[in-house]
Amino acid sequence: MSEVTRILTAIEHGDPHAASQLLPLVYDELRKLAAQKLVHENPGQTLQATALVHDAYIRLVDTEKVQHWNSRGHFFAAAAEAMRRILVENARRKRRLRRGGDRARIDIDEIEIAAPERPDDLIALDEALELLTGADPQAAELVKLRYFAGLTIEQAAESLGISPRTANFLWQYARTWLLDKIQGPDGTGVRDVNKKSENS
Amino acid sequence: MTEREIFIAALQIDNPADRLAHVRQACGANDDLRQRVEHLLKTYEQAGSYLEAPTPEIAATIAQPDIIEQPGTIIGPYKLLQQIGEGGMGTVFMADQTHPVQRKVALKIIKPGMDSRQVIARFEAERQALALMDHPNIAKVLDAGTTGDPSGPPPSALRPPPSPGRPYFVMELVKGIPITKYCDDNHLTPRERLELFIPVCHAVQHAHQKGIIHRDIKPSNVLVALYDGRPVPKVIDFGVAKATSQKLTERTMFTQFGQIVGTLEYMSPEQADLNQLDIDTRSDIYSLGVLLYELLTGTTPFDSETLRKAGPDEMRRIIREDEPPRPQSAHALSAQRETKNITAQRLGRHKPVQPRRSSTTPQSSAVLRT
Repeated sequence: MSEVTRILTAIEHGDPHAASQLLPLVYDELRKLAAQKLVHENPGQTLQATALVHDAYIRLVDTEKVQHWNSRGHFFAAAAEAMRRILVENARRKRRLRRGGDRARIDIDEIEIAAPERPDDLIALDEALELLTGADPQAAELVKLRYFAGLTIEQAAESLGISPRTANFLWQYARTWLLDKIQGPDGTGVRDVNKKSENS
Repeated sequence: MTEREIFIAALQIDNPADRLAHVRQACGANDDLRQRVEHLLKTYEQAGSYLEAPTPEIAATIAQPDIIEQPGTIIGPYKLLQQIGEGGMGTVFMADQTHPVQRKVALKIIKPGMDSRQVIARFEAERQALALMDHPNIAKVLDAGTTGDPSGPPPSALRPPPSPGRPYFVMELVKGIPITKYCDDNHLTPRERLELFIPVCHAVQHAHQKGIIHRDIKPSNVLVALYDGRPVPKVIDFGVAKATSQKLTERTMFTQFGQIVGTLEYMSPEQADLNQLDIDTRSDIYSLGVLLYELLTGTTPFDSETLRKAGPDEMRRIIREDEPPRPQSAHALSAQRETKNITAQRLGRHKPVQPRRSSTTPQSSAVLRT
């Protein structure tokens, strides 16, 4: 039984510590997967975050054994969180580099991943998401599952244990809340966010 | 009711008046909450498809550690000794060749970001012609290959394979400095500068007769080294520019603008065009003209600061259309009038009306000698 499957099974059986063991494993696997894929691709190649998460799932989880969506839900929650960290870390690093910060060699990282959006947008989103996690953890979780792990509303709903209808309303609330935070209190907005997200 | 509950309930009420009434009623006396929900509803109207595009696509590039290779690294039959240069295109090392003969060579490792196979294929295509070049003022290109070819340990299942190899070129080692710097360091007179420039013309002409176009003639590719106490110019990088030249496309103009400016200053109008269909030997002649201009006046015809500030499109327009100022500086003034004419002639706008005199290398060098 794979390590991840073991952890998922432990979560199923109510082990409260198991969930925390999942994240580092998934994080490492996502990084490794991205690195491996990129070695065979040309520089500038784009990868789909969703595809990466899916691949990680196939590789880490014995799908024969883990049939319950509940277990899969735990996996995707970890994967979404891991993907968020990877993307934000890279956006931050990119911003640092752009500002002429450290030009030192980048430690273990063989790869550089970046969303094509400007790093600032992603960092702003992440900061807003942090605030949302404090105000409404479930709404924040839904955004992570949707945006960083690429789950559909239905999948995310199942993972959160709510109905798709509820999930859809919650999604509207969450993204409005985030946009509001990013635009600032006067509501005029720093930039045209819609235009940007359509382009990306 | 919480903010979230009031908001979600409001979303399900289509009639604006009813919706407003709902918010008022749900918030009761809590004005802060009411304002907050009303504000969120307004934001929702403007939110459009914000975040709806599912996951961010990940654009990824293999990180480019500054230099992997360092003295001591062994690449094929070459052992790197010390770094002797670094350009936009790659890093140059002095290296020991161990096989089949022992000698010192210059090894230029192209920076990451190019398709190694394509570069090597383009080089191989021209290899025969390059081998035919034999001129005392041309540094021979001896070999080309890809780093990490068969020498490294085979990739194992546990360890991802190393990043793909990068092309490298092995050249005759020229221990020289750029011709412009040599002339300035030694305070050469215009006459001496011209003397030094003539063999460069001969070298380029020799290559042209073998069907080789350099494509990247600039001071850092024309080195002057002392042989028996006499300065001898050597043109380096023949064949390298062609193999590694990426087409000047919108993409390269915008992504690598900073890096290619140095090359663009010497670039002919037809090269500065985005479709580089008609590059021929005249492009090299143009670059030679720029080099001569710089040797005599101390500056390139188009000021590099101006070009840099101009931005990609304006810069290409300047190179294609603007008439360079006639050489005016102290050097040029003391130079003979013919020289100026030759310089101006070589820089002549070659499209569309004014054909640039092309195969003029012998003639110009003859005029220069008078």
